[in-house]
Amino acid sequence: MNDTYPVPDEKLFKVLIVGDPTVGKTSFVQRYVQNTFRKDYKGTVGVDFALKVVRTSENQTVKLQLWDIAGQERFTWMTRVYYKDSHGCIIMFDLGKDNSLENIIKWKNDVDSKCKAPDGSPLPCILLANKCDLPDKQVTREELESFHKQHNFIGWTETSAKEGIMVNESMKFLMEIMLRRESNSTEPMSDSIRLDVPPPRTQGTGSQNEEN
Amino acid sequence: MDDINEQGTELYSHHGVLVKSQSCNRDEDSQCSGTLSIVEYSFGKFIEWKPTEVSVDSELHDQEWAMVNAVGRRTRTLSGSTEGQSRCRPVRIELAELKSFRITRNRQQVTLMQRDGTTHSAFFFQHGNADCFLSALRGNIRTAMSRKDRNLFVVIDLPESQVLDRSFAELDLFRENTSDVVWKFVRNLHSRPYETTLEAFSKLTDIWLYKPLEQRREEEVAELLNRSLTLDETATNVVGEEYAVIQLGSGPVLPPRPPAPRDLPLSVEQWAKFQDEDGRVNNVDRVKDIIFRGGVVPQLRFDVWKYLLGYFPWDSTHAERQQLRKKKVEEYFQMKLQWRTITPGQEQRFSDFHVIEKDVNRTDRTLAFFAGDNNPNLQLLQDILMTYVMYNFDLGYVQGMSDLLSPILCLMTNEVDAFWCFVGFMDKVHESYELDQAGMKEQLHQLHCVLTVALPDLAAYLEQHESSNMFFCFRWLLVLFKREFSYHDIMRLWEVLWTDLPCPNFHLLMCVAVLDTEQHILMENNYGFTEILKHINDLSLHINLDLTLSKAEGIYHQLMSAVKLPDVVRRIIGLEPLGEPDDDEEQNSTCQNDVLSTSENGLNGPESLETVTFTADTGEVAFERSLNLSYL
Repeated sequence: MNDTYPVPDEKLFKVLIVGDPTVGKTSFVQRYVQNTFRKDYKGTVGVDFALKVVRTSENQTVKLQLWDIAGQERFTWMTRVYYKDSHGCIIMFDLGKDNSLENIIKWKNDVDSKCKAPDGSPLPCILLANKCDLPDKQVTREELESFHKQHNFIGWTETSAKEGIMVNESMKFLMEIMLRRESNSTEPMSDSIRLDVPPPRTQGTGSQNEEN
Repeated sequence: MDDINEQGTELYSHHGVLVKSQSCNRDEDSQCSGTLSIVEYSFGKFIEWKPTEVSVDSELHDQEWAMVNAVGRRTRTLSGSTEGQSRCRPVRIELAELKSFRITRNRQQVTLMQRDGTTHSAFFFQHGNADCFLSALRGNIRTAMSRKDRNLFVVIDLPESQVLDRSFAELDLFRENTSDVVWKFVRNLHSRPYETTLEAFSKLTDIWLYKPLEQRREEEVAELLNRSLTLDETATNVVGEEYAVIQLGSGPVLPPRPPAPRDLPLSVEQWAKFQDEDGRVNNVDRVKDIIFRGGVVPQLRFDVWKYLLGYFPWDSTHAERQQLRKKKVEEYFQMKLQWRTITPGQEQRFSDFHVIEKDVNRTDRTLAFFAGDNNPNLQLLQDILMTYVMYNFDLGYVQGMSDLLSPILCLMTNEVDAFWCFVGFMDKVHESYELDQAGMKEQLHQLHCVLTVALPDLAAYLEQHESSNMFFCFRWLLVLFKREFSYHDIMRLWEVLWTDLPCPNFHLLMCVAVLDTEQHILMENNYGFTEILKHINDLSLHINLDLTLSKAEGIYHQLMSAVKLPDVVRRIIGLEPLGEPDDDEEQNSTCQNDVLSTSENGLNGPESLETVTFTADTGEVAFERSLNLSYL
């Protein structure tokens, strides 16, 4: 009777989703969590929450608490509080907009200056180029490939919340990084800091093969 | 991947349990009937509710559970976009996630709240009452009735750190030396609060749910946990001693809250009587007073709102208004022409225009007035907002404005009238939207000041839980509760607020009134910053407007008759400051935290160490405290 239930290994990760207004943060969250895409959703005021429970194995559960943060610049005075105790971050931009790269840097700096991962290192951040289903693209893959390395993202990929492209895959990638960091942090002497392990499945060039 | 494939064992089930399906902005609440059960799986026990008469194929089934598993907000957000009919999705709550529940409506209604702050839509037991379900629930978890709220029951679980040592020793959770483990826990709690708490939770719930203990042992554990729950209060008092001094030592004691019943809305007959033959409105104060107590009947809104929003002067005649309107029409189209004639290049570089375009497409699209593709009313919404950018260049377009315009446009339907009413509304609230956000910060600060006097226990609790910044009220303030109430209710609330009665900043007393209703839930669930934010977010469309309005007015009367009301609060509600030196000092100490956090634009120190001296009734007390301001 004592062995009826396996001891569940449960982890909770807080994940931030930031980026300019209307790049698709809320839609991304809805696609990931509910597998829906709605046109009648409302713009986020302040912050919205979503929780995704992922059973990674028979006895491991990961809970992802997603913080979908309103993107208008004048409200970034509140972000320090929202960022607190995060484990990972998604910075999202709209592939069809042309001032995206500057604004990504702003968001990355905002996150890095206000928040550190639990082990004291910079928050693992992935860069998501959303709305890849639309034909108009202002940023090339080559640009993003070097840009993401230059600005210390752990990976990048094109996504489409509307079509559900690379949504689960990118979250899985981030989750695995957070899990890896988590297990390292309890063993401080381990050979940690291999931050630029190539993330093959989420690299931009990889995404095409994945989807087509 | 997070779905449950196995067949669980049903431990209990109850048919005919209703769940309110919340479809945003639809006035009629539809309800879904379903079966509420407690189901045991190999990995834990769950409370489940499934709607009757919904056939789902297995693929869809998985997907739907996934959505519900991922409840971020209430189930309403999960309802599909299917127009007209409201679909109810199943609900599944892990028993170990249950934090508390509230029983209302003659024991027929149960609201479940999770540890993470999620509040589910209430379950309504239409046949009989919830007692059977509750006793089945109690067979699986331990609960204690709240001492402050007889309807609230809290699941007994994590003891305070002060008693952890002993509790854990008795529970025999860890193989290692208990004391070390506990202190490691306390240490880790600071550096890694999420994981640490979760670890402890899971270990505790393991014992609790999964290991059947001998009867005698179980009672011991229950008793122990009960005791630690009782110790809770004294324990936090020790931790937050300095706050206790402030709250109890210097706060004014408010008289009991008088009842403030609501009244009937301004009727067509009344409105006609208030107008003279030339069309001037006489006795404006009386009109406003009626509107404050009961609002306006819907068919009068089209006229009355124009006065409330300053578009028509109260003392204008029919003829004057006709003149005025002609002028306003011209002025509007002149401004509209300005943005209609900008070059494509200008437009490309003007980011406000892009944001408006996007926002318009996601403003109240579930309302019939804005629903469907290529709805011409969306164009109206967009044109008015664009023109407002021309009208007020410095402010520009800020997200949230489309929310404020939407009900006005729905009502006016005319572009020009809606525009000028919107201008009047923005004049009242523009401070929340300014680039420097000083107005918003000031309001959050004022809200906390009023709270310190009106609900001192809650104010102290929030300070101890990193929430005295009141960020969780941000949405309420930015769009004046637009997201919290149905379409019908928001019109009522806004017309009441536009009377500027009974005092300035009455909307802050509205906030306090909602918090008054929620305070026991927040405190007894021991919610922290995240959970408070989530709980408050989840209140959306679950706030009783009339009840809250009369509560807010009651709080106003309390403040008005309070002895030694701090000047800070007197100013907020429009009273002359007393300016007596003693009072000033007291008032400073009451709101010290916020004064520090919002003053001198000094929001950039994440932490600051301050020495505060203040005078209390008992004499002069000086103490040092470190403030974690949680601001930028």
